[in-house]
Amino acid sequence: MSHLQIIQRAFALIGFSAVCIPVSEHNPVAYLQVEAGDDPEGPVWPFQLAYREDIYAALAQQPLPDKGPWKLQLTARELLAIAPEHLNAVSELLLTLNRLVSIGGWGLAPDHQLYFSYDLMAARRELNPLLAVRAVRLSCFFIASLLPYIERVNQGEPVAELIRVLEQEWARQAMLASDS
Amino acid sequence: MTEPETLSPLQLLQGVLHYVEIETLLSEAEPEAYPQLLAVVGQDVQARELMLQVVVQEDIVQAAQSAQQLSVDQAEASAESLTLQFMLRLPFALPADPPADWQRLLLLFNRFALLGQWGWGPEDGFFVRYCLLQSREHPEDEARTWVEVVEQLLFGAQRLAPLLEGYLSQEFSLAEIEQQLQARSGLAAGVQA
Repeated sequence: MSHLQIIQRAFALIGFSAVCIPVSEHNPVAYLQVEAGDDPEGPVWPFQLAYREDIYAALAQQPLPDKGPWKLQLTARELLAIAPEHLNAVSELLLTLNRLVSIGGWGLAPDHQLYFSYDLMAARRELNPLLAVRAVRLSCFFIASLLPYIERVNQGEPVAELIRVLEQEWARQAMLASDS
Repeated sequence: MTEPETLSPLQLLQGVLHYVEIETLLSEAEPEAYPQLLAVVGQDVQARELMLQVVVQEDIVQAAQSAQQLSVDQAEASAESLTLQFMLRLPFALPADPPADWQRLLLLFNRFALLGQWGWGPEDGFFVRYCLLQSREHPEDEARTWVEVVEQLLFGAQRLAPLLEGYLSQEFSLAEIEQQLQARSGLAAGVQA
């Protein structure tokens, strides 16, 4: 059983749907597609989990030497299409949010699609699967809590006042954020 | 027979960084505050010092809870993991009249950076930040990871900060920097990969 399959089992135990998908027919590298959402009635976000080393190996079409810590990249893509006229305001908001979250960060893809991503690092490939679960849970918490603010700015709401409110609110909650 | 002293994660990190010849200063915990590790980990291309600050996020939450008498739910939620926040501060400031799209440049860096998030805050200035989520049990198992985090943040800062300064002084445009980054295969390994 591969390590991604072990992580897949950990997700299944908490009720998240997770599927291992090979990157290509000729390459053993796989990524994990996770449908994650803590609220059964709430929205669900697809996360892709893949070892960066596997991605590089797939690009190089050969295995890479196992020399450093491993990075398991967790990414939820295409969360929102950002309107070109609001790119600067949304960028300002995202930088603020990236200071408030305890792991990971928001970003914009070249086509202005919003994503949330985190690189989980471990000395060995066999990281504790519970850490992967916690990282996805935290990411879900941030997306659920903060995406509505991004949507508001993307619809033209002034960003400065929203940032002021957000910083006050998160500071009051001891910010840095946990999903409790 | 006395029990061996249990070292905190920051004390362990201090030992590891000392081993790779990086000297650090570990501030003592004070009431309603939290300990932090400070170290000069390198220099930028203009030989200015790059300062690293490391904190344990759970310490910050705990300090805030004791200051504001919040519930202890958060500490319980993270009983199995801890989060080390590495923040490398850049030695230059945001000009009074920056280009209108300067925040987009930092997000562009985040797309290409090998590790961490580029950011700016009114108190911190420009920085590169990475938060390492790791097991609370035997934190020393990740010693090699700690060194890797420091090296990668330093590498990113040394490579990208000159572009940021050049942009802020209007030497380069956002589009020019994007082209440069795409041409640098060594850095084009972010979420685009």
